[in-house]
Amino acid sequence: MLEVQDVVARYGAIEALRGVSIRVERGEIVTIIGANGAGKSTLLMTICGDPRAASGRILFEGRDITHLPTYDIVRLGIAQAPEGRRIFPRMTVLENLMMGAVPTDGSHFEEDLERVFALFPRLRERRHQRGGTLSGGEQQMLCIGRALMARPKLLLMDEPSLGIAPILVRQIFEAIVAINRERGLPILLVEQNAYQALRIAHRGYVLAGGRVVKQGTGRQLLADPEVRAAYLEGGH
Amino acid sequence: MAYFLQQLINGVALGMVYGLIAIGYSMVYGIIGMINFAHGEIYMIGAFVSLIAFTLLGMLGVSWAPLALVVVLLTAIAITSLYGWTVERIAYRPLRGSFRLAPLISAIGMSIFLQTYVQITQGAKIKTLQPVITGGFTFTDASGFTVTISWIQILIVLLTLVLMAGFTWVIAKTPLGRAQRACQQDLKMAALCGVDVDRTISLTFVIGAALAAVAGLMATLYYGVIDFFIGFLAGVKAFTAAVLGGIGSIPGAMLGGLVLGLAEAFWSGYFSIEYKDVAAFTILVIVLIFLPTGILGQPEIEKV
Repeated sequence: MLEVQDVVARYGAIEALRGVSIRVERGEIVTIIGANGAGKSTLLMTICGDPRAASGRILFEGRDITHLPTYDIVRLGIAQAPEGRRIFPRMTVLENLMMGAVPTDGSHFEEDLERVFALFPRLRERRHQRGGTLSGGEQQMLCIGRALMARPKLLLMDEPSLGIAPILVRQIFEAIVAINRERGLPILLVEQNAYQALRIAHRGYVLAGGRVVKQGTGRQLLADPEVRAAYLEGGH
Repeated sequence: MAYFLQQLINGVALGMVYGLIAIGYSMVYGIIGMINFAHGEIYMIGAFVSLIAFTLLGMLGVSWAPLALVVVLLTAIAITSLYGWTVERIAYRPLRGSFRLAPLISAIGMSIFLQTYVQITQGAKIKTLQPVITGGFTFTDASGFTVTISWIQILIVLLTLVLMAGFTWVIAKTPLGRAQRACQQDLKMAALCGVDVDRTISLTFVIGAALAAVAGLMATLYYGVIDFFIGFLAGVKAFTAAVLGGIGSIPGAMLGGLVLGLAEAFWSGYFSIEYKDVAAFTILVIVLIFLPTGILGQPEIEKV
């Protein structure tokens, strides 16, 4: 349903993506692993049109979205839980979730809100609290919840486990699997925590220096000696 | 006591005019981080549109003041908003993503252009408006001092309060207000939520210009004289008010306007009227030194 074809993207003079091709099929969790600066976050942002792909094409449900403005891409059904969570700090939890629902017509708001609260009960308790006062883990829940409020057809997640207490990391990964199973929602997941990500992913890509250097199923990549040496040894 | 009260009344009325203009500076700064130096000129255009509209209505024989006021108010808001929108569209939007000083320079250019444009099309002479609303209440205390509240002052205060209430509601409760606050807090994330950022910025300029138009109308009624240069001083003072209240904060802009209006009125009343502008700018300097984020401003650092 998402196809990125040979995309090149730049941040200023830096070529962050040098011809990346990936795809995500219906119902899949696809993960992208790689070192810092490999271009993972840039790839997710380029899918959303910021920065724009300098060359190559991005297709979503067969439609070319390469040159659409960000808000149109989002309204077509691609929601992102971005790097650093980017919670609106001076808005309440509820208002943050309302912002997530901007691409919808609002008719399912209450129902969607209940689903998010069911997934992350903590958010219900804190719904009148300002986003900036939440802990890292709670902000991550809010970030995912906000993306779900858009009723997306595809969810992009950038480092959901970064800077979160270990006990919450498990909870977040469980939530990702639950979202994928229960809603059949395809997820494109960028992670530094390669072990956890590959364990829950159907397929994965390894990104290095702005290129895809390896791809396979989650299990294949977990067993791959090079992947193990580069991204898995010594942890998790 | 009566004298004090009189200055208080004058200061509040003046402060509300400053506050309305200051909101435009504050909102634009909050959302795109630039000082819109042409905003004072937008206020000046609001004053000119008001004056022209009053004159036209007079020629048409509309003499019932409430009707004339409503028509002029709506006309001033509509036309001035269009100017605000156009300025953003042609002078700032093309420069978005350019280096930080570029839109600032463009704003100064726009300010000079608008001044010159009005000077050429309307002439450089001072324009006067025949009093539309006259009279008011006069109280005399035991010692013989009188306090006057004019109808215009009452109108200024009431209109500003109504506008502020409506405006606060829009910002706090409506999707447009939420989108605006979201853009203010994180432009990129707002776009990722599906907000049309360009449209939200345009609307910010339109709202700022509409409030400046009301300020222009009220100043025209209050002073009865305008010229093409009034935007400069009013603009700088409203900017001072915005900084004083905490730039980016909307209640702050109103509060800053009030403080500045009161300071100016009391300074004129008790010291010297010639140096009232000095009082205003002394406040700006003191605030910048001791309270750089203003009274209600948010510190830049946020918990992430």
